[in-house]
Amino acid sequence: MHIQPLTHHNNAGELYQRPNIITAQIQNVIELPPYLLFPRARISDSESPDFLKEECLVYLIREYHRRREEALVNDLAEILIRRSTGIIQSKLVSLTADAKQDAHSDVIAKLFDLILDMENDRGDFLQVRYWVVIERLTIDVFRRHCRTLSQKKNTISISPSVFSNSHDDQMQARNLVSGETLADTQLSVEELMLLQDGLNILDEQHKVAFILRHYASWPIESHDPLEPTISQYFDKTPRTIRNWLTQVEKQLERWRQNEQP
Amino acid sequence: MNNREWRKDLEDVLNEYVASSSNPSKELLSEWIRRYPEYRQEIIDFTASWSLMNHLPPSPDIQEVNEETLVLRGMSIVQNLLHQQKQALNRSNPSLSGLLDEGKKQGLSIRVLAERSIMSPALIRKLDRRLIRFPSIPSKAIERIAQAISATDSLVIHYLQGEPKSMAGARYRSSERISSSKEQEDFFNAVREDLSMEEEQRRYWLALESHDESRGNEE
Repeated sequence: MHIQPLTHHNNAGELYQRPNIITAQIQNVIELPPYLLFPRARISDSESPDFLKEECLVYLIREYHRRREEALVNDLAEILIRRSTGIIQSKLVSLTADAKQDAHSDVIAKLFDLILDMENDRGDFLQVRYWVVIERLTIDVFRRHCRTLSQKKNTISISPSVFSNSHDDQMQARNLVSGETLADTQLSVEELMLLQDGLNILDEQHKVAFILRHYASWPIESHDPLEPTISQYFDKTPRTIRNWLTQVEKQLERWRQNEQP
Repeated sequence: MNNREWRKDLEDVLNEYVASSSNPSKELLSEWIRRYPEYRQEIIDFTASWSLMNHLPPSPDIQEVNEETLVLRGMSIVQNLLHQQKQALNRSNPSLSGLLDEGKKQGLSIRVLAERSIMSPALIRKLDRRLIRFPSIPSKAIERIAQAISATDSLVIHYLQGEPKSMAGARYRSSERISSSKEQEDFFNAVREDLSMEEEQRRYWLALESHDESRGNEE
């Protein structure tokens, strides 16, 4: 049977191509009757020679949707959701149980909005690198949930757009730690691992600043105007950011001392 | 570029960005900003969220999320999406009045329509009257007919899934539906028993039988 081609081009103008293994798997199963297809689709052991990759399942769901065979679409969708749920959840561990459930539903909604859109090829990449798209969708949803939770808690959002420079900086200036203590220290990997559990005691913006500085290695400021910096991200002066980080390190140090037996 | 296209292109950029590394780094971020300066702010925001997602500690919330509940919620989302699409399709997409009608509108005689579909006029007529069981119809047949009458596959599928039509074109009454569905033939049987079909055409369709027959029997 003829396999529907991918039609979407990336930003470099290149047509997306399914990996050969995906094309071969589609060819092997597209003509199978449901009673042979479903036992194969349900194989979850990725080492099994009969295992169907998620990119192949996406194609099958679209194909049966095109043929309006809704029962088959439902069955295959359930298999795909089961396979994806654990991975999505593992990326959302920092959210509370309620937020995690809502975020999971949002990722699934975005995923199937792409898969079931037959008028559009914007979901083609799902047949090329399925897990990459899941990761991208999860990050998108995570960002929105963090923002919403921050707004609900009436705390400052992690979105840089809500920070207003002048007032907050003035408030910070009154509480500044003295200049000589504002060293931009580099923490070792071991120290960062030890401190990770303590990050929950921090407020949102301090937590974000600390992670960007120490886990993602963003500079506080830069001479290169094109280089992203924490100072730009929060729209704060570099001094304010250094002050935050110093406060955070002191908080974490206190936390660590209390945690030690 | 309108907002929708801009969004679509951004999704492509972010997909490729995520594909390029399992973890965002400062160097990677700078490289992608250089490559796509028009999405600078979006890439920075996305990277910050990516870093946070990877490094924030697990929530102290001890309540566990039941995986089965999540799957059921996911399925309910899929069913809602399918339902919405069906409603939208019914609103915006008038169904085909018939395969022969559609061919006629495009100046195709039944003979030409049959030739283009690699079928006999008799088989086309049966399909037009929906006297062939839908699950037994191979996808290739649907594709050929759709191409011949310049319709989408889904329109043809939608038409072929309808109730059988009587000779005069009227649909069977509901009281007759059970018996009418029994009167529907299997596609491959119809091919086999069609005396007017050319041998080459018959061979073409029967070559597809091994897979599709079992699919039809299953349903």
